[in-house]
Amino acid sequence: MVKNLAKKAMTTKGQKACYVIDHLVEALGNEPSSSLRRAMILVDIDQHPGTTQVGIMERLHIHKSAVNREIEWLFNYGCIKMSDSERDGRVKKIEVYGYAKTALDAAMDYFEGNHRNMQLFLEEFSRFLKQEKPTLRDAKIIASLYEMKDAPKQAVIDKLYRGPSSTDNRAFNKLIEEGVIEDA
Amino acid sequence: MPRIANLRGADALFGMIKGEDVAPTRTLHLSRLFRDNVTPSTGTRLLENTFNFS
Repeated sequence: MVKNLAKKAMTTKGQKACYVIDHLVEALGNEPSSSLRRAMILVDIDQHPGTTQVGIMERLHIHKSAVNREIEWLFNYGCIKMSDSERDGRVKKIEVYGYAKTALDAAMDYFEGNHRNMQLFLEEFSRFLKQEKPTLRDAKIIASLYEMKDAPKQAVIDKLYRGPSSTDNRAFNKLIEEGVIEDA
Repeated sequence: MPRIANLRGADALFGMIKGEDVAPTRTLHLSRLFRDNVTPSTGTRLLENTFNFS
């Protein structure tokens, strides 16, 4: 615990951002292609354990079909568990579960356990990335580049998650196209 | 060389992470001194913060 606190105290803003994103990727089945919106749903469920899909839709203003899809994904990857509601048999109560809970808690440490602040960070990050559906991979590219100030493309890609290089390159190029990254 | 276009925006964004505000305890500060990447200036600052001398 003390070692972890010391580690956080010694890290830069960019490193912290990288750690937060790494923990979120881990919480979401080690899938860097997970969207920031999916991460926000996971954080929302953790903030409201036992919530329902309707609750998530209302709080995050996300369409029913999108929430359905994301909940199905989270369940299939073992990130959440669902149980029957005692009040209404048609309703499922949802909670963050297992490895996802452990990794999400590690990410939450950087926000002192404050879910609202984590949500604000993810919202701001989504806006910053200027993508239709920004992913944790996009976020890691920016956090890594921020940490390195300016760096060759390959050096940034080396900091990613050892996925297909074509996917990493495409994500990087998209950020250049959108003007998030300057390539002078 | 690629770099972030809106560096000021990135500063503000990453400034939202509050990890540095973790509970300051003597144990915490001292444990930091034993890390091999502590520079003399950082070490001095940590000692100042821990023992309130400057």
